[in-house]
Amino acid sequence: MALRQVKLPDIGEGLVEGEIVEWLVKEGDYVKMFQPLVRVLTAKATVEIPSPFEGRILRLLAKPGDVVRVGAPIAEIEAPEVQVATGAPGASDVERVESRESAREALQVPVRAPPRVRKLARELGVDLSKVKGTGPGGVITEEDVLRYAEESKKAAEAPRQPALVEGAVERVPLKGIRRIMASKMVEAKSRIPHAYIVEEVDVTELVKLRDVLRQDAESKGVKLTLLPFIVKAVVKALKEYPLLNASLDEERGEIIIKKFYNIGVAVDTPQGLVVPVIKGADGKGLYQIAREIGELAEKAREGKTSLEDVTGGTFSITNIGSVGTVLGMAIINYPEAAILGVHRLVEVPRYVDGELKPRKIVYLSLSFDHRFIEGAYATRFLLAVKRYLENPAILMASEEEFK
Amino acid sequence: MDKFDLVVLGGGPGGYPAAIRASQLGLSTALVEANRLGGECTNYGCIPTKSMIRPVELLSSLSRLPFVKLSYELDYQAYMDWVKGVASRVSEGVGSLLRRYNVEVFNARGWVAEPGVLELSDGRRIGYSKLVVATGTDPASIPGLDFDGALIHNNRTILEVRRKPSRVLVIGAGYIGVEFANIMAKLGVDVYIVEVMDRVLPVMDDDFSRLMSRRLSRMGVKVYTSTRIVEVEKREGYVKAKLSNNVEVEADLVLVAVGRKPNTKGLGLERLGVSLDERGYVRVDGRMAASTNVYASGDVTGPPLLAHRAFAQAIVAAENAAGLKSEFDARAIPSVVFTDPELVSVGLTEVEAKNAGYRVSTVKLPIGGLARATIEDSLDGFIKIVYEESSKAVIGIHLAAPHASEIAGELGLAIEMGATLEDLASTIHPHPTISEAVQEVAELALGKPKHFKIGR
Repeated sequence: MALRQVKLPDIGEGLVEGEIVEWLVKEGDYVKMFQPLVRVLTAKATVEIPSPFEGRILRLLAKPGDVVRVGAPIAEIEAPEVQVATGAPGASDVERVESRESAREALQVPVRAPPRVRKLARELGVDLSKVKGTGPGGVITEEDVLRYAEESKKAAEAPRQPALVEGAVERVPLKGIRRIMASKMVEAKSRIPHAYIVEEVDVTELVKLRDVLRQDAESKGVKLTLLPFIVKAVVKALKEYPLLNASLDEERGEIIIKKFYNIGVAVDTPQGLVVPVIKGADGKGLYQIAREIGELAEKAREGKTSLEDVTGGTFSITNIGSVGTVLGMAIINYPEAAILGVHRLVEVPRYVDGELKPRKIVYLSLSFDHRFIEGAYATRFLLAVKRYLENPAILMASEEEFK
Repeated sequence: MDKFDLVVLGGGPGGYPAAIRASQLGLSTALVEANRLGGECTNYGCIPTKSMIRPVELLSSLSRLPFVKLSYELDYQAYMDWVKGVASRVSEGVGSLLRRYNVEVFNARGWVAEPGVLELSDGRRIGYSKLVVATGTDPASIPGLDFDGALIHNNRTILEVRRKPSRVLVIGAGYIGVEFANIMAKLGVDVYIVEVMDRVLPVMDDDFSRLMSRRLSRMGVKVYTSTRIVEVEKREGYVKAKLSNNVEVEADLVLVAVGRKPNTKGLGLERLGVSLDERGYVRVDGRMAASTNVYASGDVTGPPLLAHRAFAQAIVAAENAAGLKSEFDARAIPSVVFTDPELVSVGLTEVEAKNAGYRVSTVKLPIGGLARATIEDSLDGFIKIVYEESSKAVIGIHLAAPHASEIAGELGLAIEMGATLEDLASTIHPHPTISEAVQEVAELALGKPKHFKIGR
């Protein structure tokens, strides 16, 4: 028998940690290779981690709610000897599997710290895998541990808010999607200087078109809201104003302009905010977009969103008005360049050709990265979106472009 | 009823250091041991076997010298009495140490009567606040081949034999079996060793297995791997064994060395919420905690079953019991096989390192190029170093050479300190010694060995 550790694998997308949501096995279970072991929530979605070995689960090293770094052990499996015994029948096959496995995990570098430093870290409660070693060749020194402990202490003290502990309070652990939301929002807000603009859009004609199409759509099993139209309008405008479909590579000082159009649509779920992505939206028709939005939102609400569903977005849309606020300014979905906030549809009096008429109005707000997008450029983009939505004939005219 | 801050169940390497450490930390401490102090290691394992090896090695070294005309006689009875004497002296040393630390020793069996109370086989009851379970293991037997102390032996009963056998059958080629085969062969006994796995020392790196097969065969030992015992027929003063490869072996005694089984039954551990794994070993965490106020250390916590690992775990258990933050987090637990040459494995093997997710390289150097190996006329051996590629940090060293056991500490220190190849290569090792192998293999990994031609 050989004791093997299962480590949280690199799930891709540059993720460095994940939260254990649920174990699908328990200690003592016998698992096959590739059998799902655990559901892990990453910054983007919940993924199932398969077992890299066959064997008996000896210990689970993380509990639901624990945040685990990529490469950290999450379980111990007692594997049958045959997986390591060389020369045994079939051993070469097994070894191939292992080397492939290790190639995937090979990013890992041993934490190097002498025993006295490990003892100090234990006493101070410092996780050595988070400490950067400054000793010879990257060895972690006592000073490194002390410095880390000092910094974490300061960090823990900084946000102390005395008011919070006066009076009756309930402490709710920040976990799951909400914990991820917290860190993503801090990242976006602290790295991107946001600027905001708002436009009023008259969607009276668009609503009429939608009403005409609605029954046809329903007969095809598609629920048609205004959102798919907005997705289409956004994609068309992005093609005219490509900087809005870009990211800033801060390290190299380059703007990465993306030639593909993956539109994220924010969904409010009981667990928190999820942003599923319509991939290749420029190649999809209105009904297809509508259908995908429906399916992705459904999956998000059921907590079944896959990593695939939420990654690779280039621009996001959030339906701020769904609950009902007059005006909201969204935070950009980092590292995208902008996010469009769609507000509540209201019927209000507006002058049309000098005559006061009831019109259907929607406010659109745009939050954009002011480091590389000027206000005028962003405004022109938003006006282009407005033009498409106010003139659905133009929006739909070049439909063949979109198949 | 006497009550102690800490009671240790078991007086072996997993037990007595816990009692000593607890006493150093100011806890009132007792130790319960039914047998002799020092446990399996002192009385039936490490100490007597190494005592058996030393005279045998001296004689075999001398007789290898072509210019020495030697005739000697080994009085087997006196030899084994001497071996037992060494073990007794070490055991008594443990006893006097415990006395000086004011550890109360109860010479009895003990088990949990209720949480906080042990019942002893002499009828007494003692109370505890914290308990350390260090009850170790017993030799495992083969069904149908019960130990009788006459023909069928385990590592304990074979020490009682006073007439030198002329033919020995060893079942199991783990380190115990291989060490005995080595001793017996050097005593001039005909040795047969049978192993069900496809190699000797099946849990070690296979370079060791190949070397040891070759060495045993050269000593005249008949090595049968991938072979099992079909039948053992007891005759008057000898056995006749049939093997699965159709070979029939006659032997004056049989040593069964097929593994160990934990002593976890009948201790009342279930009353403490202690959980056992499917082989019966106590499950513990890194602090050696097995349940609330219950710790376990040593072999009873499962493999690797090594005295020096038990020592370290015992200290961790005692420190946690005393409220310190202590953890068993050794990177390098040396495994040593005391054969000719000695085998030492410290840290990870290449396969283990890859399984642990490291990107590693391995470099191997034969020891035949060392001047000291020539002096000692022991050229058949190697050193292997496993290091992480990006940092060049050493994470495993494997050595087959004379005196390897004495170098194992250096190898462990290098790994624990996070030493890199350059650290080892730049540390001056004395010439001419076997320890130069460590420097030389690091130099080889860096492409600059002094005594080895790179490439062919």
